[in-house]
Amino acid sequence: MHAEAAPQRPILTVSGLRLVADARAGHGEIELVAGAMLHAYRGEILGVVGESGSGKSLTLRAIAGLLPPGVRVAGGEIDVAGIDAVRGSAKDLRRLNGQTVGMVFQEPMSALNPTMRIGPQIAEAAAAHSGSTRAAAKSRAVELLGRMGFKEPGRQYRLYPHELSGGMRQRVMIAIALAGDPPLLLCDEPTTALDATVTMRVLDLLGDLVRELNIGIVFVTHDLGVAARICNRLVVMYAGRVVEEGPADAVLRRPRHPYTLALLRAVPTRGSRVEDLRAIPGAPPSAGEQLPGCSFAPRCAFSLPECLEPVPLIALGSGRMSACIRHELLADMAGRARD
Amino acid sequence: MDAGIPPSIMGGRLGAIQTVGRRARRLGGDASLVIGVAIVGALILLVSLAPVLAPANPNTQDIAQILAPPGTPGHLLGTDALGRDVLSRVLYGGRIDLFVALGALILPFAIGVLVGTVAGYRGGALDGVLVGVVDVVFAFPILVLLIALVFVLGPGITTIVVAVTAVDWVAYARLTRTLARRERAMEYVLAARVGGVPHWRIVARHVLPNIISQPVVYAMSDAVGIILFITTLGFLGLGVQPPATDWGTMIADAQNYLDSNWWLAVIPGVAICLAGLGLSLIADGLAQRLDAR
Repeated sequence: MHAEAAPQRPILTVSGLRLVADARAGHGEIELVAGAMLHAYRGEILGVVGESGSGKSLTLRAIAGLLPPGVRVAGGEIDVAGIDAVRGSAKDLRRLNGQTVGMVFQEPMSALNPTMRIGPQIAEAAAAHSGSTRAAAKSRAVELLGRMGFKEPGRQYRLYPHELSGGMRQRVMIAIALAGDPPLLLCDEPTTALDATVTMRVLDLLGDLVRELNIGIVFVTHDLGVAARICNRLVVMYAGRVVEEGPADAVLRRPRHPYTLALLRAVPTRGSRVEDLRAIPGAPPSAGEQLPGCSFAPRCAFSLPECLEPVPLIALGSGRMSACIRHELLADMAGRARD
Repeated sequence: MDAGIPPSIMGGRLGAIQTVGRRARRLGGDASLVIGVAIVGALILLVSLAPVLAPANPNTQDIAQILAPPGTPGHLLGTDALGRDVLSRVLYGGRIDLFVALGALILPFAIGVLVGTVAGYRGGALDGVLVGVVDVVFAFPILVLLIALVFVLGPGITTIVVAVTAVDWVAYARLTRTLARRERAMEYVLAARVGGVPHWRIVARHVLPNIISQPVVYAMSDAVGIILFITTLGFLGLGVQPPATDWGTMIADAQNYLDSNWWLAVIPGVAICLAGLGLSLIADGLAQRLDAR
């Protein structure tokens, strides 16, 4: 897809990212993300999927420099448009915020300040990095509201968040995130709190923004349907690790990692029967639990004794990677299913 | 209560009952707010206009009419043992009590809210120091600590304000610290941070406006305590020094006349009760109104 058509410098490179929480009373540390790897490009939406606790949201927060207290980067690199987000100076990090990345949160209710009108919230973000005058910031905010599909931005500038619907609030969030003209937009489950029709409209808006502004989006979600709808490429995370990566279409149609396959089997679709839905047996490892080798092996239908050895991400060609030693078996299965 | 609730819209009885309940609570809150503001407003107005309203100089002695009962011509609320007009003394005494209370309220409020918000938002060493100071101050019985401070600093109006501020800011700091810590993790604060909004601006526009209601409500009930404390100091002779007077001093002076000349203690006592009641009602009404939102 996009990435293959135009080889370009990634706008975001995350490699070997380790995030740890310091355990209490000197019991060492708990590893929450163990070597995450991501690349995002302009003009493309990168989906990061996985279940709760897979480390996808935490990885996203690390990129924005918003790790919760007690969690820190223990290793790896985060490079956002040439800025080192891990070891960068305070000045670099200020530049990172707003000018380089914008962030959209899950809950549109708590992501807007209830005591402030929506317009000034956008204008404030616009003024923060361009250093523009109040009037300029205001006109930028009105322009952004219009861009987000508000019919009367000049009047709606003065509304309070509680006067808006969930979808409209999410549009305001996106406007705030884009106020500083960042090339990279981070979305943390932005549609999870919205109903289906509103979700579609917000997704369409994000798709338009990627095309028109030529920005890159990293879109974290646990909803494979949403991911299938807007993502160009997908990264699947499990227990703090990337287990599969590739063009969204290929990953969802012909998964090369048993976890992706299991996820897909657990999602109801129009073509499938309820009896065919499969819950994934067992439970994911709890945070900090160290498993030798593949962390999905205990739940995996295809696991071999060799799976207890560490498994690297294996490049499979055409932009695909899988962290499964049995990827060929999965390729064969997918091939049969297609015929 | 019955008017203005269209039952058909409410989707059944339960909805209607809930709405009535909410309105009643709302009205109850509004009523206490209105009554409280009326009482406190009237008191402030009365003591502000003391020079106009007072029938006599509060320190002038009318030797001919010592211990005159209320209703005596010329002395509406009677006179004390030195023949001074009780009404005039209550008005002038109230001035000192209410205005000292105002100062002793605003200073700790401002300092406590500022320190608490910054510490709660920033965390780290500043926060650690604050928690330590709070623990130490709260380990003492507050009233004893205050009286000790006044004793050390010497009696007087300034002393009262300084002592109350030195102790009381801690309560506001502790309250706002907790609120600011919670607010710091709110997504709109994170969003502002990603947006590159400077920290001082985040504190001023995102954190403070969302947490300020609780310290304001607390301040109203705190005011009751402060007035009681000032009058207690006056009663103990550590407060306002003669010839100036306040309600507490008046009650202290009235001790020997409790069984024979009741009005000397009861009149300033009623004034204290009214001020306390009014402020409590305001605190109550504010809390309910902010709760309803």
